[in-house]
Amino acid sequence: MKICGFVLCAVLFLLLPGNVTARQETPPEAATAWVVSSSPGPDEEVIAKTSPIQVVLAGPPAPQTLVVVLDGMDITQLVKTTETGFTYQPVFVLPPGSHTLNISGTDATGNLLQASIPFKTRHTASFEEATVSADMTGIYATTLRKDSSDGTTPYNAVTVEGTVQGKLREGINELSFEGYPVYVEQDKPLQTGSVEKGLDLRSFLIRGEHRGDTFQGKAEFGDVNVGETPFTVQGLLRRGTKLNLGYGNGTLSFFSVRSQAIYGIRRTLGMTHDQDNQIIGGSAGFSLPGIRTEIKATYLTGEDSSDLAYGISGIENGLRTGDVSSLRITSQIIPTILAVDFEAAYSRYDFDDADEFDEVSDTAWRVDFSGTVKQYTYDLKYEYIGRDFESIAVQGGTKDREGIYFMGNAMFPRHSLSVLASAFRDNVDRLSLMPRTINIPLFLDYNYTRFAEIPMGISFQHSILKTSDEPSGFASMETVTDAVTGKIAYIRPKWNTGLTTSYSYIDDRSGLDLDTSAANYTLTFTLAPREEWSISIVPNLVQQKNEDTGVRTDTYTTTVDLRSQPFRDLIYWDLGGSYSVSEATDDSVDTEITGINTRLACSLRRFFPADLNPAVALRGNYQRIKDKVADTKTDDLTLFLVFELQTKFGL
Amino acid sequence: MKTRKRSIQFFVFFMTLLWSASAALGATSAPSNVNAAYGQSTSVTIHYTLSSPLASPVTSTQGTFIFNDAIIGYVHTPITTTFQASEVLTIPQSIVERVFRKGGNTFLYRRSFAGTFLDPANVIIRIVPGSAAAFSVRRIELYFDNVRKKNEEMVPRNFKGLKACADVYYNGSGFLNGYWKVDDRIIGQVNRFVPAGGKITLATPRIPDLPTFEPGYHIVKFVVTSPEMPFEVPEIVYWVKGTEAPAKKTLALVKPRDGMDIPPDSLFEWGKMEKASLYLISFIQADDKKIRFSALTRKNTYRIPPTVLTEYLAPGKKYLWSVKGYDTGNNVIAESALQSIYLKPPSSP
Repeated sequence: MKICGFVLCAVLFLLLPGNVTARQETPPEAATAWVVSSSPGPDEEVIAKTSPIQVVLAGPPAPQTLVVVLDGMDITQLVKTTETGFTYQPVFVLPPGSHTLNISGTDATGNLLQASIPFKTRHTASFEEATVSADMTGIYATTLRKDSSDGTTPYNAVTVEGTVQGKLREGINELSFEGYPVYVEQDKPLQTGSVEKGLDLRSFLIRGEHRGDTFQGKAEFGDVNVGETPFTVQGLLRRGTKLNLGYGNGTLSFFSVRSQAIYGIRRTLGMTHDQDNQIIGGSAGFSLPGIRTEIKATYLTGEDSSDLAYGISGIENGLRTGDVSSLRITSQIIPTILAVDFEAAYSRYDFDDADEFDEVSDTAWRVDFSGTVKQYTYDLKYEYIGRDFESIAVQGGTKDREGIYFMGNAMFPRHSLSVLASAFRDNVDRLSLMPRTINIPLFLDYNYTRFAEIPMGISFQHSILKTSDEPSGFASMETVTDAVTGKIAYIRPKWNTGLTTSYSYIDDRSGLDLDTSAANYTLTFTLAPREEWSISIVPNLVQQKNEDTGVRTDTYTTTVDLRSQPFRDLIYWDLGGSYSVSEATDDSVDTEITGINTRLACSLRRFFPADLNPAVALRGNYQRIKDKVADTKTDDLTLFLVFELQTKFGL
Repeated sequence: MKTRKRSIQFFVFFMTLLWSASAALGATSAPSNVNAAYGQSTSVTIHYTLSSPLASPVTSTQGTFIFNDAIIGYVHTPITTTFQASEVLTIPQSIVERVFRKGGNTFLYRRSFAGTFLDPANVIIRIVPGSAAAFSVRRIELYFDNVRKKNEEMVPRNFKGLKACADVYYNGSGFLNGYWKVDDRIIGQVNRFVPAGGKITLATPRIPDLPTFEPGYHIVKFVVTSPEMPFEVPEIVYWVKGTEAPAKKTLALVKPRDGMDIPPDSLFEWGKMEKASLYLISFIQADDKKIRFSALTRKNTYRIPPTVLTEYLAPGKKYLWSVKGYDTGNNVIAESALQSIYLKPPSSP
């Protein structure tokens, strides 16, 4: 698979017709007599990224009248005038391709002088664009003090992390890559998680692309993002292969990715086909520009072996398998005012292929009307998702639901208003074995923006949930939830503050009457008096009350974030801290948690070559957990002496 | 005869005592009824209480799912208690499916504690649609979403705006309590009502955002405290590099004022930045938002040359203008907002 991928990239890159023919020789346009000579010359192609420009003029323009414009950018103030003309060293990399240098001025008698010099650049002789950049950060930490004996805090630790990126482009063909190599080593085991000791390539992506007028192709290998339609797959970040092709009005896509996320390449590269953990699919689409409509058919199939048995025996634990197919039609019926998005899908899914039950199949469909009229936007959707509808690529998604959703938004110069209203029900098959639930959530959000320095807003939420058609023995349910949130801020150039408060109440109207209420208060305060100083403090209080028992639980948290340079570009002091207290009025909860991370660093940049950026730092972590109910307390202070070295490289 | 009568009396007394003892040593569960979601797994916390405290602890080695008097699954988590205990019970989709496909909508979860005299604790489980099920988290998916959705991120030091998101899939509705944690430090609380809907997306606080001042790798978790979680919370990793993210400041545009009609030869001026060695002023056509003309300058002022005006800009039209400041390494260190101007046609001589 891996070899196939590279071959495919190479095929896309090398065999497809490129823009080599674009380097056609055009007869040099006769430069105005005012320009005696120039480098680059008219229509000359130079191989450089920041090609110096030199122009010799027949006569100097009158003082203060010379204007030099490169690709629509006035560079007059950056050119160096010489006795015979001027020179310019580009500040930024000139993108490969065609450029135009326009020169103008007036002579001593006020006559207008003008000249235009077209030229081309390419980065190398072989490739129009060729860039590679890499950076690396090495960190060595040695422990000065540690209180915890958790078995994972090391005495010595080394971390090296880097980024490598590159791009080759010739005409309409492009090959790019990015990778994130890391190396982690320490004298104690690492905490459980995805980071492992040793050298690893945490993630990578190789991309080959062809951008022709009629044919376009893109092949990606590595950590890809797969997205087709809402009912099939969307935003699936997995290791694998993706191929997109376009010809005229038609598109084709194909993907093959692992069902489960893979980090690094130490355990597996993840590019081979795993018959128990692979999702494969593709789509075909075409557009009808005349009626502004696009039609797309998608199909995917896959298996997933991740364990969902939760340690329970007596149940089988086979593979989850399934496939889903979908047809989607989108159309701009009235451009910007009315767009329609329709999708119908059919799925087959087996949550356990080892049990005695066969797979189940079901359907889903939706139709969505949306658009913008002046300052108003709207979105109206009807959706039906069958009881057993499930895509193997969106496991745990919504199913067994039918409903209508409306979203409206109005933007005025001084106000904005959003409305969200929906009504949906489940048990779509009306099975007598289960009750049916009806849910009606409503949401209203208003913002007043008359004063840019004092933005404010208020929102309301009202939600009704109730059951009907309960089978015998099932208790009916009805809850009504109301919530109100208010927010206001005051924004100044060097400081700002904001307050957000909310109150919500769940009214349980069933027999149990388990009402609950909650209030939430958040104050934010940020101060940045100087460029190298900033501090933010965010106190937050949450009060939750069980109205049935009268027990209230208060959670108070304050977070602090400080970034500072006591001596500019030399000494850095940063701190992040949090203090959290939870208390219940029935004394069932009484905990305090304090956490602080801080770093005091000295930059040694001035003593080393420009490409190196070393620093020595003192790093401290403090954690205190006090549980008054369990009568336990832990205090952990860890101090590290850290040496950091950062370097970067680019071509 | 009398002895026999006494024997019978003693037997009746003994049996009564035994019955009383066994009744007294029963175990009860709370809640005694649980709604489990059809087509999903559901997790609930079950509290067990013995009818009276015991001197020595008793153990329940396993729990069993029972449907139509047949055991359909075992939970091998032992519970030992002298009076009260609790467990987070996951009712897997496969158990629910098995009952449902056999035409049932109710089954039992049973815990038997060791000891001859203890009655088992039973929890009646009813199968309902997901929104009526007990409020429980089914799955959490974490990702970074500052530029594009990613499983992992590598950012320069002091990078601003790094944000982690959690897609939380759940049954039922209720108050979701939890907190965001970076390297064992709480950076933000989440306490909010989540309506019946099955999925909600949460993000780390905007102020302060994810800490990026320590080079190295950092682990982000979203820890749910209520409802109780049946599985270990997932984590994602971000790596902070030693390179310093250029601190982008706001450049103040001094003149002309926003929305003014100005003659084409007006002076454009903006606030000076200490570290800026170069400024880029851009003129954008208001209707199509395309850059029509720009200029590089080392001063904090600029005047459009008359020769350029006619070629790139059209007097009588509305434009937007903005300024960027660059340091000596050509990094953008300051940026202004967009302001509009209306270029008046040049006055006739």
